[in-house]
Amino acid sequence: MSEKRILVVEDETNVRELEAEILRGEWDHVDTAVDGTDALRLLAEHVYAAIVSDLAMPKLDGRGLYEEVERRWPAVQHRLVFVTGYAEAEEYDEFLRHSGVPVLAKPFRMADLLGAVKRAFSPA
Amino acid sequence: MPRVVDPSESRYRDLVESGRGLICTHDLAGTLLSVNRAAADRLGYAPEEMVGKSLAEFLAPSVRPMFGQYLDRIAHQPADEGLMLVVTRGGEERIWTYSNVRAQDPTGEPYVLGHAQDVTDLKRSDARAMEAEALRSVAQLALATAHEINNPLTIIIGSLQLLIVRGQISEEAAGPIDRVIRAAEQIRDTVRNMSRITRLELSRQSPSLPDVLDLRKSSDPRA
Repeated sequence: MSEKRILVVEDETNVRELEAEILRGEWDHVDTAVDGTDALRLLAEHVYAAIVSDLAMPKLDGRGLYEEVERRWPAVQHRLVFVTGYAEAEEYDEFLRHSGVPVLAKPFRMADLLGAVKRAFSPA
Repeated sequence: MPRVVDPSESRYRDLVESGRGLICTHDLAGTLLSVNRAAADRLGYAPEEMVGKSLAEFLAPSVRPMFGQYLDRIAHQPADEGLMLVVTRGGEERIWTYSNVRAQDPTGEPYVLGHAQDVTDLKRSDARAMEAEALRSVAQLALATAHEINNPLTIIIGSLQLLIVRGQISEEAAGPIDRVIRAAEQIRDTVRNMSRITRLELSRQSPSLPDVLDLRKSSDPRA
């Protein structure tokens, strides 16, 4: 068990709770945010070792979150992992290629999520 | 005494003969009385090869049975217009839009003056545009479906795996639970293929749908 914090950003309640539950099996502190704006609020309060975020979200989507993180906390940028059911959507293609943020497609197996977070994980 | 051609008649003949409009005259039985060069060229004939023959001979076989109805209409109405499917000497079918009027020659004999335009390319590009539009709708539906299906699938697969990992599944339940996970993953693969295929199709803007849209085939990893 690690003391490091993980942040889950997802607008779908069920998916958010599931992801948090899976991650809590490995990490003690898993916070959740309902969209990018909510995530920015938490990022201003805590340092996260990894951030698991949905791409398509209301208010501020994954791309907007990435851009804000890049601007405000550039060191955290490489701790992002996108989890999306929309990976085939053309609108995010260019952004994903350009940003190089790892993408995990929904639905995933538990091991895939844990593996992706561990790879992005960086001791804060 | 040789007939002196009125200059205005000569100009009119030039207009018909050298113009690009497709012009013909035929009697009320459908026999061609004259055909201008543009019309004959389009069909791959010389005008004199066509004169004396029935217009029906230059129609595509599929529409020939409708020729009688056309003759009936033009015999009873002053004009008729619509689309006709003609066939060239080489066997190619072309779509012409026609606008024909009934006239009378100086002796009072009725005949039909026909004017047509080849609209094949226009019609085909319309059809292609409609198909592309239909494809865009299908692609949008596929993407929206993928998004909506993937979230509940994530819950099904993830929650069952959590139960397994936590040892909350009895030995008897393990088999059925595993089958549920595999079935859910099968749905995932189908949805993934669906969105991938429609995207591929969109990027190609292909006018025809190849069998890649056959989901059964495309989701088969051996295919």
